[in-house]
Amino acid sequence: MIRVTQLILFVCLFTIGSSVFAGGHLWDINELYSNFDGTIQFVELHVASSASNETGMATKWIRSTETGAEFVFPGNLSGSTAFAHLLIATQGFANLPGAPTPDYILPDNFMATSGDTITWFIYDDWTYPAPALPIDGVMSIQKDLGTGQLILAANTPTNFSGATGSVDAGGPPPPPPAPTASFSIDITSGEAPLAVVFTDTSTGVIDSWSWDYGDSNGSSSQSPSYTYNDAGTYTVTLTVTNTGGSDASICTGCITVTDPPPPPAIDFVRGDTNQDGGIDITDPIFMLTYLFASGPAGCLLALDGNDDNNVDLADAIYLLTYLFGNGPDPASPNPDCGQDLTPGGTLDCAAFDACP
Amino acid sequence: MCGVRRLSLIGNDLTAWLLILIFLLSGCQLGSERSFQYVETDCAGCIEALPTNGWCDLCSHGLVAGLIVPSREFHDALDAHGHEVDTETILCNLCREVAREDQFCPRCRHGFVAGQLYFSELTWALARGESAPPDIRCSGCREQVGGLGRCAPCSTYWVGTVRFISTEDADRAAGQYRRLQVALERLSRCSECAIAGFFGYPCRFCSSEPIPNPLQ
Repeated sequence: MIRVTQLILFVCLFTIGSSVFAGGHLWDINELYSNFDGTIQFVELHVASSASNETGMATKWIRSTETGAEFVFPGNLSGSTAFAHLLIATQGFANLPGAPTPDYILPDNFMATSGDTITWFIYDDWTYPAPALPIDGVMSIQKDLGTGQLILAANTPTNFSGATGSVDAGGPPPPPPAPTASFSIDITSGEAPLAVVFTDTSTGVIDSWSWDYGDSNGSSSQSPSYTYNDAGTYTVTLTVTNTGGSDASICTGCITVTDPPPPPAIDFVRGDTNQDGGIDITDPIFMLTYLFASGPAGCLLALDGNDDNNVDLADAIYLLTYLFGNGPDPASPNPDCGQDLTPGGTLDCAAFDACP
Repeated sequence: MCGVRRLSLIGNDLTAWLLILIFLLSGCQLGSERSFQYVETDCAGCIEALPTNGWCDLCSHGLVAGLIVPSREFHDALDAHGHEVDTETILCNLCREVAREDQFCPRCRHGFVAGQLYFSELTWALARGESAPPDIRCSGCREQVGGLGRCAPCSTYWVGTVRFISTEDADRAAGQYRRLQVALERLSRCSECAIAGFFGYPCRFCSSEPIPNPLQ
């Protein structure tokens, strides 16, 4: 009896003094599966040995680096874990006929389909693409336990109770047929600047538009507007694209832009700077005010009294000499209204009030 | 004074139960008959936990090679004791091969010693040594135990409270021991900093990098 008492005491002491919990260390990722849109996915863990006490799963997590989604085990397991599987799957997977019942539900799009790292707490992590995650509804990423390499194989989801199966969630829908490109233009020729409205008349499902205006500019709008500022003949190309392919419509030389005509010549009287119908002292005063007091310019051709294609102090002196020093008359047109007979300079004349 | 040996002299069951009850109520610090002079605490739970790298409920901390691990989560993650597994049934080919030679499987990050499985390079490296006995008679060993050092008279190496004969084994264990010390320093930030960092992952909260293995 004494020995029994001692035994009880030993057990009691050990329990009080220290304790060891069941772990979850021997669970490894065993399989990753997703359909094309991420609504049907599962992560399967596996104990690849006869360890039967790997039940300590509470608060441990599985995480996707790419999506940031995290699944946390709500509690510990109950039962032997020797060679056991754990199936954590989306509701979409659970609804598939013939699918084994998931042990836990995973949110949709838990894993990224293009590339991701799935980390199981501090015990395991799988990274893809290498190989890429299949999205054909049948294949999954698994591990060749002989080589340790990730491989692709037909899915074999298995839950904790040992129920297993294989699902076919179907592959992605076939891509739509390539679209057919066409467009219309509201105007095909004119003087620069020529504003043109391009209207897309393509048919089919279109994901993107690419316009080439023929002058190294373009647009990705469906029906853009564009203004040609330079004369020339332009070839316009519209390319439309979807996941099934692309098509281009080319309008060769379909837009012609010409230079605008020169502005109409204005009749004026040289020397009549203030445009009052005659040349008198008020004209050199008008000119001096323009030159030195920021006065209005009026018609610069009229201010160019000496017809040297410049407006400067010499013009004022020229007018004063004409008025008071018997100097020569201002050059034509003078005294009657008329056009500049010596064009080629930079001076302009938008209007001259004293001429009809 | 209370202890296992004194109880063995008692022939009355009722008396024994009363003593157990008294012990439970008083929180009597058992284990005083063991010396473990090199342990900083006289907490009886730690005396029990020390050789098994277990958790001391009385002091609310774990022990790994004599290092105090204040986080239960971290101590659980370290799981620094052997696990009975039929190594011939392990599905990983490499694990089965290395288990026969008491080696470490880098693929699964599991180590094997005497047919037992260890969950990390640290616990495997420590398992290749021998846990310190309660009484260390060699003065040279008493100077080294609890740290990293060599007892010249005994030609043994100490990594915390674990003794090694092989230099290679001691070096490997010392490297992991230092990583554990770095991880324990990270515990002041958050437990995941320590856990993730020690097991080779960045911390999702602090963005701290994994602790290099081996340490530079």
